[in-house]
Amino acid sequence: MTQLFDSVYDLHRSRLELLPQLDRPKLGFSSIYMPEELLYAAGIAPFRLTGETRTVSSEASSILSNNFCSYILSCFSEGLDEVYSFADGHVFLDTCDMRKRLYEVWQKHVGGQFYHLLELPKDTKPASFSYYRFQLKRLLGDLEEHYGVTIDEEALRGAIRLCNESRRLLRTASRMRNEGILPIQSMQLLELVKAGSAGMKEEFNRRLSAALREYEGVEAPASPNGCKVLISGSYFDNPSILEVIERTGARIVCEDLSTGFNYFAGEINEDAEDPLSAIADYYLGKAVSARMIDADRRAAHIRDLVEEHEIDAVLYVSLKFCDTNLMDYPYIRHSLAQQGIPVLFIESEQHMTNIQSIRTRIQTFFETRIS
Amino acid sequence: MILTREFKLIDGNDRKLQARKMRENLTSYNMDNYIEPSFPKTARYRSLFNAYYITECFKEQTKVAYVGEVFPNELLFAFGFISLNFESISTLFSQSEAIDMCLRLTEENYLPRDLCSSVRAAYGAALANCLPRPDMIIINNHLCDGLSKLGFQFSKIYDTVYSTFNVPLQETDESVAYLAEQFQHVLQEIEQATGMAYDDARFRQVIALSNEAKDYFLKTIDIAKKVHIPGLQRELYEIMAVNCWGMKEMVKICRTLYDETQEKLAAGETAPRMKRMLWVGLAPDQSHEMVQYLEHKIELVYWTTYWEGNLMLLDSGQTLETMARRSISYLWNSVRMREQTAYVCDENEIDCIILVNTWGCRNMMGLGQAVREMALLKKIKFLSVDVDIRDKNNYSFSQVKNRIDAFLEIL
Ligand code: SF4
Ligand code: SF4
Repeated sequence: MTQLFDSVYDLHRSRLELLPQLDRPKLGFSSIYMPEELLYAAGIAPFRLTGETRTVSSEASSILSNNFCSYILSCFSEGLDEVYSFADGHVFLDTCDMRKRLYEVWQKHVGGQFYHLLELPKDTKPASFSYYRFQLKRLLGDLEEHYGVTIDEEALRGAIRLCNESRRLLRTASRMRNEGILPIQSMQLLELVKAGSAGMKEEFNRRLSAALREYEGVEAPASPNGCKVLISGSYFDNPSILEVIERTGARIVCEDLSTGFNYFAGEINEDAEDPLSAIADYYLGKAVSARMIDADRRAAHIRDLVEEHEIDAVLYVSLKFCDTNLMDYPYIRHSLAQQGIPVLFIESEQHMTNIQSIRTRIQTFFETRIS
Repeated sequence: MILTREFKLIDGNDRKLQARKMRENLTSYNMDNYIEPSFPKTARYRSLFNAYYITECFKEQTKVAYVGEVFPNELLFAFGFISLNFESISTLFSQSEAIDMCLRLTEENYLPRDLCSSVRAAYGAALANCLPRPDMIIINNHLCDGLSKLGFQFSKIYDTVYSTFNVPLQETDESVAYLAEQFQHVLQEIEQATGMAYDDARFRQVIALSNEAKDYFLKTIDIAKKVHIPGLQRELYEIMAVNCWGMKEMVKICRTLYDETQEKLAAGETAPRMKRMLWVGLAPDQSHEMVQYLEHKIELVYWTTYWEGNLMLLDSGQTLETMARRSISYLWNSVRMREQTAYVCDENEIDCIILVNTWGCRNMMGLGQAVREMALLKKIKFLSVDVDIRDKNNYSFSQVKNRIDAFLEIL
């Protein structure tokens, strides 16, 4: 049964071999607020930059600064190393200052034929929804012009259905993991998410639904013990940290991360009269990350997840120099304290393999909370 | 020491206490490096105005708003508000020993130290309860992520209403209309927060004052570009940083500077042309060791004075739209950075550039390349230094000085 899951992970693990073989243009993106629907509707394979294949290079740090978050620097190092030379270009979002700078240096130093900077407002006032919809229309127009295609309503609706299906499947996987039905842990869930954003959604949906079908009817074991953990914060995919937590007997049941729940949360209204407005409503409406001005929405979102999953403790992870998540920490910490939830704050680097300095803190924090 | 209860500042409502704490903490104000002003009348009016402004802020009946540095204050002045910006608060505190206490307090109150020290210093000053309680906070995405998040944090610790707006990156007709619509909304939110009705005649008056002051400012800038009058570039920078366009006192300050400049011209009080260095990046107060050191050797021109948005007049027929264009111009990107620094270099016949990277300012660090490229293209000598004008832990003047000396030697 695990082989079926391996075939899903493989979409991520082998993406650099699989993507070039696809007979359609490929565009990279780095933020989960990039509406993949628009690109799928245009017949393009949108894949997410993960920064996994390269550590931070000195060239990347000297062009940007070694004071940038390691996710941005790793992605840029990949770009400079031509890891994504099969791609036509990239769509960037202004989700944080560093991503804006990445857009600029990528254009100059990495190259490609298609570039677009999509603006996502930092608040959710009605005017911002309209403006964001206008931004999506601009992106559609640029795609149509560059690729000589027409993206009609039907194509958009088809892409919405496709992406919603991935979201549903990932939510099911997360639920079955939490119920103890699926033999996967946090890192594997993050890998499923990565596979879902690797530019091959049709295949992803097919493989993941086949894998999940194998577990249909499997009885959930008696609910396992252990401190239930929610992780929240910046871009995060560090297996060493996850392993340390899980070894203490704590169970990670919710990844409030762009590599976790936030990628597959909610759905786009498939029956909306105007599909573009529905896409705008979904993406701006679900934007509860630290980049938004109103941290109350984020705090409420985390509190809801804490309640829903009966969380005992929160790990707040911020990549070093990730300003938005660092700034949010005092307020989120306070908000969780009101709920009686302890928080462990960790500042890390994307490729941090030597975690000695934080291992003891993590162990002590979670071991004292194991019932 | 934790200084908030339920994330609200303890005694955060008490302006009398806040005024006392500010006085107490700023007693160590650094007067050692006092500099005789080159434009005494202007400097006196400016100092008086600053002192008046700060005093007013602590009065119970004054309406105070916190905003970002480039906020269109005309919107607030139309309602009789006084506005304080986070960056100026940081600058004020970094001129005194209180800065260390401010920075320490932020760490004790869970704000990580990998953030830029300007943001931390302003938050620390608030935690120390040295700032006047705001009646409103207006938050937007200028100039960086840290500042917009700081605005939100302020609204929480002071338990104050806040209004937000989002400045689009690109200047198009649609983005200008979007921002103008948001300004309209901000005006409505100010009405709600204060219970005061928007008065169009008053607003027009404020806009007229803003343009009148700017007009004098621009005329003085034209002179500063052409001749070297010691201290003029700094005075222009100081006035620009006051950012009180729309207040009548600003007209007085700008007119006085213009008049004093004319007097100096008439009296032949210009100096031989020195090499001109463009300072790109956050600039500290004039008593800062780096500014002092450089000003003895070279004429410093500050890039922000010449930033497009600071040179714009507001169109009284399309006020919110021109205000929107001005605001959009303040959002940094590499194209704007390249074009606008090139413009300053051409207009001022700049000989060399110093890029001052403030530790933790991702914007400036990411945009430095654009300035470097422009300098290369124009064959202008370029030096980049890493400093931290607030947090001594991140910077050593002796190292920077060695680099500056080597650079000046090449010149
Ligand atoms: S981790 Fe933080 S700084 Fe890095 S890209 Fe994400 S939001 Fe930006
Ligand atoms: S120095 Fe840079 S990071 Fe710091 S407040 Fe100013 S713009 Fe923001």
